[in-house]
Amino acid sequence: MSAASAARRGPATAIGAGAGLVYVFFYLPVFVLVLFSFNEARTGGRWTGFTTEWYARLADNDQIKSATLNSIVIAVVATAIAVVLGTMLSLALDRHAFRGRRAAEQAVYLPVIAPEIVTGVSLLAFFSLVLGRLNDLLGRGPEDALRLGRPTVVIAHVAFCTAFVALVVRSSLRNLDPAVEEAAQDLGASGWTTFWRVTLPSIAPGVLGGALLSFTLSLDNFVITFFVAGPGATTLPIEVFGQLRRTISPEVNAVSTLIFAASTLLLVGALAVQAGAARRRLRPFRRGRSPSAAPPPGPRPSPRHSPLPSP
Amino acid sequence: MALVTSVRRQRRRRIAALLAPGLAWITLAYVVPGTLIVVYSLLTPKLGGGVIWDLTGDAWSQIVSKGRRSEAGWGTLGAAAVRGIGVAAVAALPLAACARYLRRSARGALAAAAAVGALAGVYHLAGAYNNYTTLFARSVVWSLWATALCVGLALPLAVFISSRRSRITKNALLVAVMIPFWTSMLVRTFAIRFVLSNTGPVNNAIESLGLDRIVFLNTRFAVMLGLVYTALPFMVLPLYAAIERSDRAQMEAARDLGAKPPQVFLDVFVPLIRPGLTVGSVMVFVVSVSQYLVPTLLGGGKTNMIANLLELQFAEAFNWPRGAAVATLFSLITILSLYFVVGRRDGADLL
Repeated sequence: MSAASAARRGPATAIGAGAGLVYVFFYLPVFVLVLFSFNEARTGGRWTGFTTEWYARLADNDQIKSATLNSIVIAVVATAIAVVLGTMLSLALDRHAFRGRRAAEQAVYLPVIAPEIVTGVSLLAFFSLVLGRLNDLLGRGPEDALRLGRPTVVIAHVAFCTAFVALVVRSSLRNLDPAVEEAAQDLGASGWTTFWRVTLPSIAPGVLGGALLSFTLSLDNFVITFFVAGPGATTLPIEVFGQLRRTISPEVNAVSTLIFAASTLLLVGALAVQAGAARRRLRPFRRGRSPSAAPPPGPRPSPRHSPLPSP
Repeated sequence: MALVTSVRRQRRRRIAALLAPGLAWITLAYVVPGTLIVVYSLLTPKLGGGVIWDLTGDAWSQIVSKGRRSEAGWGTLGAAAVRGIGVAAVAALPLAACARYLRRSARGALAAAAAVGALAGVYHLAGAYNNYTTLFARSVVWSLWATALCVGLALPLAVFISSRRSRITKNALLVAVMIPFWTSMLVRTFAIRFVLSNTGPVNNAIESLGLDRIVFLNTRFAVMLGLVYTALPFMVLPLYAAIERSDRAQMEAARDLGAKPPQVFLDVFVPLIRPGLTVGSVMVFVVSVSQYLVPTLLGGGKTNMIANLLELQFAEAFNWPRGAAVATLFSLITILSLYFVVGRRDGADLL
């Protein structure tokens, strides 16, 4: 008996130890990075004492500040557009069967699987062609020519953010029984009213979660932005990349720590919103107020692959 | 009758209105530029970036022709063959032993060994042919290695998370995987660079032990570590989802019927989690093969990959057609590998 249970415990212990090591692997480098952002020594990896000087210096660093502002403006605009487009796409793909639906689905997945570097260089080629033609048409000279800048970055970011929003919202649409919407329409609500009063409130957590993720993706994107930003629209990751190639400075550790903290907070926020919604969704059925005609729709199987496995 | 058609027409109009803006945007940012890049690969380079609209095949012939300092010849071919056969022989022994232990035919094991050997031979040839084939072969082979390492690291982790009883523990462990999944690739790559740097914490620890400092950065080790570190979450999450969906009773049944643990693992467990394994491998491969930050920040220009070549052609050498040809070839390889490796059955899970 004990030998058998020991034999079963052996592999389990090994798996536990392996899992623990992987977590150490995930977090140790980031932890060390964060720790040394509070280190007094200007260079090197030797701990000499605690300081918050590097954070204070960041506040005076104009390049970092303007890059941060750029990043936030771009992320806000891109997210605002992507949330609307992505939600519309997910409504069409989940609520309607139509010819060419698979092709539309594959197009939505394109930004998720396309290698970023190829997207970056092809957008660079595309934008420079279009901007060149526009400058010729408008007769603009070298001084006032249209160039790569914030608008081109926004166009690029909206494309991949839309795809991710569509994926996240779709997984929350799957949990909303279409019968509820049909009931609203049978009771005389127009399509718009149904959307605003029934569909949107039910999928709001998914939409909010998608928005937060899209914001993070836009803030963090490096490779695509690198090619389409041009000199005028340096975002925070591009500024940090430039600095860490030029110098070794604890300021880079400090700004990296802040980026890490910001995206962790955004992610945890997105997950909390969705988890809260999942709990609320179950409540009416627990009270036994579900319509007696049809069995309560159990949680449908989660999508096969979503970037956010619903916890 | 007329009413039915009008309702249908109205429905169709609504679907079109919902789809059009999003699809148009994605088409504008992905499909149109992707097509344009194929066209650009056939044009003449313009000094300082851009193209002149004169058709030429120069970019493609540069990529497929032998490099200037290439030593490729019959000797290289022989060396590649020797290396391939050697690798195949080394791989065949343990694989055949495993197959025997599991009472399976050795044919599968030998085919796998032959494939590994062929890959090693092609890698050798590509490395001797020209700069482009070197970088392509290196990116592909290293990404395959990274994928294999990620499977090995992610599988115990995914099994561990899914075997937790409490919902809260499970969610906490999952969130701990998702944080690296969603945080900036730049910050994570920089963390590795900082930790491994010549005056960094690891080397200080080594020195305080009385040993010599070790150069980690700008080596193959650092690049491989970076590839695995950045891509690992892409493997854990699909694997976890697949394990959660799999039917554990089947493994119990196999065990009760007297299957050995390795047999349960290979014949029952692996087929059960195959969709997750496929999705995870494809994601890790695609992320790794197109890595720019890892070879740049951890390889220091000595161990370039395809993305560095693209950056060089577009942002430094300003030979856009050549860069466009590399991008076209690269996309083609990615799409074909997705199509063939994933196949039709698992493709339904991925897309």
